[in-house]
Amino acid sequence: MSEYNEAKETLEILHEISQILNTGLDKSTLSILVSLCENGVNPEALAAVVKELKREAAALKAGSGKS
Amino acid sequence: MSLSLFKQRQNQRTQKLVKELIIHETGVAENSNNYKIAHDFIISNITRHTYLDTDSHKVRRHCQGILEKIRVHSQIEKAERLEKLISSYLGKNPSEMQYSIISLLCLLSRNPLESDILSISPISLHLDEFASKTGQADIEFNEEELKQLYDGWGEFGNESSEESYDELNDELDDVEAEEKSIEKENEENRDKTQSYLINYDAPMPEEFDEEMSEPLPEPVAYERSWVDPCSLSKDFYESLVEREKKESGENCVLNWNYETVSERLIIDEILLMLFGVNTSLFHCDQNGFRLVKRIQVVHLTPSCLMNFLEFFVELGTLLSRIDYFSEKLKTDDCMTYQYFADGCKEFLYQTRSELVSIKEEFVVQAGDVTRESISRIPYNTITLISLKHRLYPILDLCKLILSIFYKAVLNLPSLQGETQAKTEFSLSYKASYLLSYLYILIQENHEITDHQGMCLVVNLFIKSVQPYIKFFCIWMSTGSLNNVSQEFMVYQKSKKVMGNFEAWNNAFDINMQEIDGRYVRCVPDFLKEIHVEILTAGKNMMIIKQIEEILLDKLLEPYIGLLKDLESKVTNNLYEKTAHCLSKVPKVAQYNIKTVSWRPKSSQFYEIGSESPENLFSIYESQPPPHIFSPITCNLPSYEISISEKEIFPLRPINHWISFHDVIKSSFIDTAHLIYEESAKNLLDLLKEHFDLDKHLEVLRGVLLMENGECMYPFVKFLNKKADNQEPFDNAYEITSMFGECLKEIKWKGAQNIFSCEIEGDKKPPSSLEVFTHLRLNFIPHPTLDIIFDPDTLQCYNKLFHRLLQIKRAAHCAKNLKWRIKNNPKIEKIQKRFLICQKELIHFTCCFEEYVMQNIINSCIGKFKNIWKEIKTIDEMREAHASFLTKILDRCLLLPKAAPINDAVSAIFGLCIKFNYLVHRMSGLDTELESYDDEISECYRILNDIQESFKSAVNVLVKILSRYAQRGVNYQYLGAYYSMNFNRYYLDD
Repeated sequence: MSEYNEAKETLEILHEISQILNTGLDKSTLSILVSLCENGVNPEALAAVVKELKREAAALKAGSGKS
Repeated sequence: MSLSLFKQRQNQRTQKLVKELIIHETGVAENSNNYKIAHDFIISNITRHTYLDTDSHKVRRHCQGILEKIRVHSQIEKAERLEKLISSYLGKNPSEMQYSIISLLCLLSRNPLESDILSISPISLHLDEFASKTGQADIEFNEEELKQLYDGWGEFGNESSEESYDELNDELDDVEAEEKSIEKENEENRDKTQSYLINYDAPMPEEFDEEMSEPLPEPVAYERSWVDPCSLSKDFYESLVEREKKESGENCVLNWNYETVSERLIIDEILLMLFGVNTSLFHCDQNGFRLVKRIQVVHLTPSCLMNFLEFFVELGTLLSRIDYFSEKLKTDDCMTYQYFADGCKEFLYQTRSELVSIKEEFVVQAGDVTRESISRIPYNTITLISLKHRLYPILDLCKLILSIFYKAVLNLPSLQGETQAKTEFSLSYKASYLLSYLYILIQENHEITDHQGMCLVVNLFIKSVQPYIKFFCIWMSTGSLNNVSQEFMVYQKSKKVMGNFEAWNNAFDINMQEIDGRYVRCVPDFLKEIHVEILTAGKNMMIIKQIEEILLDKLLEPYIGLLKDLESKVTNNLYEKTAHCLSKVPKVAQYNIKTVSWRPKSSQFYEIGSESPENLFSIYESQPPPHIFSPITCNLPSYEISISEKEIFPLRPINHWISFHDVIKSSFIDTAHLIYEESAKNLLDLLKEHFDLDKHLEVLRGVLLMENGECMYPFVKFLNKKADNQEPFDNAYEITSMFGECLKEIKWKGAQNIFSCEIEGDKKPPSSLEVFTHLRLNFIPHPTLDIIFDPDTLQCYNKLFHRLLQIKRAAHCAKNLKWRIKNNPKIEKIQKRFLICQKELIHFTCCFEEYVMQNIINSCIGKFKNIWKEIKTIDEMREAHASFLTKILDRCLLLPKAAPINDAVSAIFGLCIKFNYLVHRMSGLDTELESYDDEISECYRILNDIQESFKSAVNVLVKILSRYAQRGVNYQYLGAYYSMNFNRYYLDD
């Protein structure tokens, strides 16, 4: 239970940091990204991927909105 | 190439996380083409990239850059929060993975200047921890109050701004393009206002306005005017005028609602507001200070002005609230609250001193220079920016104080009328809660870098703990609660107590408070580990004082030097150890003794203790020294003694990061431990030396447990003789005088005065085993020794005494076969049977007697004596004594759980007595009687019954004991089993 609380607390801290840095990440995305980093994924590669995904998702949304 | 199991699992996990990421971010279906493209893209990017590994130094530099950027834009609070969060996330030994995550967040960051700060303050985090530590849920009051706060400030901020937006919109209906820009800016402002509101953590009670001394002005329709100017630039205003002119064709004047004021005037008004004064710009109402005019400053942008004014208004409001609550707490019943309020007042005083200093500098800066004030010329020009930077630390401290108010003082129902009826908190609980809260806050804050906040809390703690120190010292040095408020953790349970024993058990106890159906000890957190010792030390002192004042009729010299001036020692220690947190150090008075003799200029300094100078020094006229050359007497002046107070300087070198727990330990815990140990030792010494405790115990064992057996032998013999002769035990004088004769055998003469023998209750027939139960030996030691020889203990001794008398009686009856064999063939026939039966009874009684006297009593006394030598406290002594008696009672089968075995043993003892009477009956038979044969037959039958009963009783007894031994339970009876079934006499198993 204490480990769970610790993890929750850490995630809270990271979420607040991400909000101050204005990353635009919500908690669930953040937890996925943290897990990927913990799994050994390079943060720079991951950041590039996330930016690209967000861009594409926005484009998709805009495309569907127009149609 | 095959992959390792670990690598396979890692890949699987990555695949799963990538899938979650795609679905969560884009929302595409798993079976769609887009999903496949995204998946391939991500996998190829994260597996085949050319980026270097994370460099921790680079990440740190990146973070520093961001923090610098935020600070440059005057978002100091945000920068500090971010710095704290990053340092708390990275901890002391950050791993590479942690740097990776921070690096990821930095890379994803998009202009952090526009972000909002969440309302997670370190204080609220501490409060959650504190609540979890003290086992108390957060009280609903806080949420409601916070809700009120948000609502109140919502009206203050949002509505006013909305109204002004409406006004603005009415004026600018025709200008669509400009309107859009205005709305956009308004939205931004609204967001900013809201973010500001969320950060605030100090609700305002409703009664605030009742206490405000000055009448409030009429509320102005427009509020927070600094919100609006940002949407009205000068160019835009001129374009409006142009338009009006064109349309109306006349000279048009559009009213400009914003008064241009100088920065100097604003600073002047701000300083007055911070003193709590209503000014032309700032008025105070129930929500605190607010701006009542639309103002603009030529050289500052509207948003910049807004930023500054928000800060100063908030600071003014917080200061006025602290002042209000401090005044309110000053009238509270709880002394700890009163002292806490004093601490807050001290903070206000220091803040106002700073404000006065600023004001002086400001006046000098304005050109009003006098000869005296020339030194006050500020190094830096006082502007709104410099003033904000100068007062910024005070804002944090104000928030800290108010959070303590709300969480540790106001959440208790004493200041809330509505909830008071529901739960009544005791003074003790209130005091201990506040002190615990402050202590935990200091403990937590120590690990954070907020030194200024910690200093403030330490100051408040030391101030608030003063009454508690006083109570602590009174209790520890006198053992009474005279002049001690109910807020101390110890309370007087019962005032009417008889004797030391009751006083020890029932007079004092730790205060308890019922919280949510369970009882919580009202002990401050820093004393929790020592509260039992504090209670016991006080009780020790209580007994010592009673002995001194009542019994010995004199006061003994204090045995612990610490007790002479306990309060000042504890306080001074606390001040010394926390000197690095306090701005001032208590002054120390010293004697300055100037000697006028051979070395006229020498002087000696002595610290003043609690004693007066007269006790320390004997002042007399100095004798003139003999002159070696001329025997002329010269009159030298007497010694000069002057008392001066001076501060200790320099401060002793103390580690800046010394743990506060160590400070408390050296001030309270070590002191309490020392007094506890010393008082216990002193009390034991008093009991042993003045009241012969050891001799009392020895005599008690000698008489009631028949240790050594010498003194009680004639008395037991006398009792058996009386029972043999079937004489009733009703002559108290005879028994008492016999008992008194036995006591004379004891070497210690005091023994004769502390025992008495009495006959009580219904008398039993001499032929029964219970014949001695109404015989009671009273032990009446000095009243002081009640604490050891309480009624329960003495009852145990009497119980054991009766068991020993039973054993002695049974053994006596079994051995007492004295008859003359007459020449009668019939008697000769059964004589053998009698002898066999007697042998069996003697065997059993002797085994049991040997077991009780040697294996139990002798052995237990030996062990008890060893323990007794090591005993250091009264509680240990009582516990050892009680455990000694319980052990003997248990092994003598006198506890309820041994009832079946005890019944069997008692039955056998009864058979011994029956056998004795049968022998008497047989020996008394007259052979000439006609019924002689019948009598013989009857005796024979009774003998058979005795034998049968004995066999069955022994059988039951030995079998039960054997079963215990086989099952490995009730090991204490193993000795009884081996003693009775020695050489497998009864049972061959």
